Amino acid sequence: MGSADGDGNVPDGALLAALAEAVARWRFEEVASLREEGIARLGAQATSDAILVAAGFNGITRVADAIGIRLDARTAAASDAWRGQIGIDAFAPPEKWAAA
Amino acid sequence: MDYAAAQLPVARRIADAHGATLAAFAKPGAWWDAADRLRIVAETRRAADCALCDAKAEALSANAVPGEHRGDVELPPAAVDAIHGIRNDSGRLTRRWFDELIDMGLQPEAYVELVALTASSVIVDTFAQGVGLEPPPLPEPEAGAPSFERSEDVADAGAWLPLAAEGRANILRSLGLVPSALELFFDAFGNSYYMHADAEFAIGRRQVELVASRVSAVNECFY
Repeated sequence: MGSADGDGNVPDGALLAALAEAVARWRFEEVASLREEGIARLGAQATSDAILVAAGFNGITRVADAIGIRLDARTAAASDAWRGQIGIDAFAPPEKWAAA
Repeated sequence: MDYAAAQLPVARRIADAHGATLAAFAKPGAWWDAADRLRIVAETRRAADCALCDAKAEALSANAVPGEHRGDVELPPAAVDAIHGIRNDSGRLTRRWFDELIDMGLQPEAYVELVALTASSVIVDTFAQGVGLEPPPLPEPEAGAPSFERSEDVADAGAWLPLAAEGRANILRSLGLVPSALELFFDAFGNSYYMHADAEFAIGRRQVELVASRVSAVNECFY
């Protein structure tokens, strides 16, 4: 089950968040350790799928940032109330789109 | 692609998709020939050990650290800069950085294809290493000239480049200037999220979203 340690109350969230971060930062010695913990707690296929999702988002975030896309209007409207609160807006400063 | 030696089970469809991505790297593209496409992938791998990128990442501003990347001399310097920036500091890329690449002579369409190649190779290599393998060997390049394909069905959506005119979300439109680049990337990415109606994961939807959100935060991606 989830806990109150920043895992969003998602089942095994702390482990998944740690695994996702290690994969995204390409810290593969840490990944190897977390992989073993994942096999024990989540199962081998679930651990594999978590790494698959993390690998995919390690690529798609680069596409989003390298093309300079804007947030979709519908998503922006739906998330307007909390984006600033959790710090996401800091990743989209005005200079990201400012021409020289 | 052969995942038989992986430390975790890998579904056949994943192996097939990643194998198809590797094979696609070795085919002539829209704005790069096969040899250059493979050089872009190889440079993406080489960028993992770039001391200049490490120094830039530590600095408050990447521009505060002068120097040139020691990349593949067969690639234009702008391409090497683009690869290193996308691979190692994507969260701090700016319109000004992009404009400088274009001013250095990199064509926008070639840039779009480079983005797709770099990001696709990040997916395949990250997953391979995540399940305990080395990045897979690259195939030999196929002969042939680039097609110089460019879509006219694009629109200004406030991004640095025109996006596909139609699409459910901007990310799905993002590489639309060069349709084969868009196809290359989303064929690599497609199994990593709910892109298909029959997508299934052995973790739940909220767990998938947590992993995706955590990676986005690590990469300082607002999208």
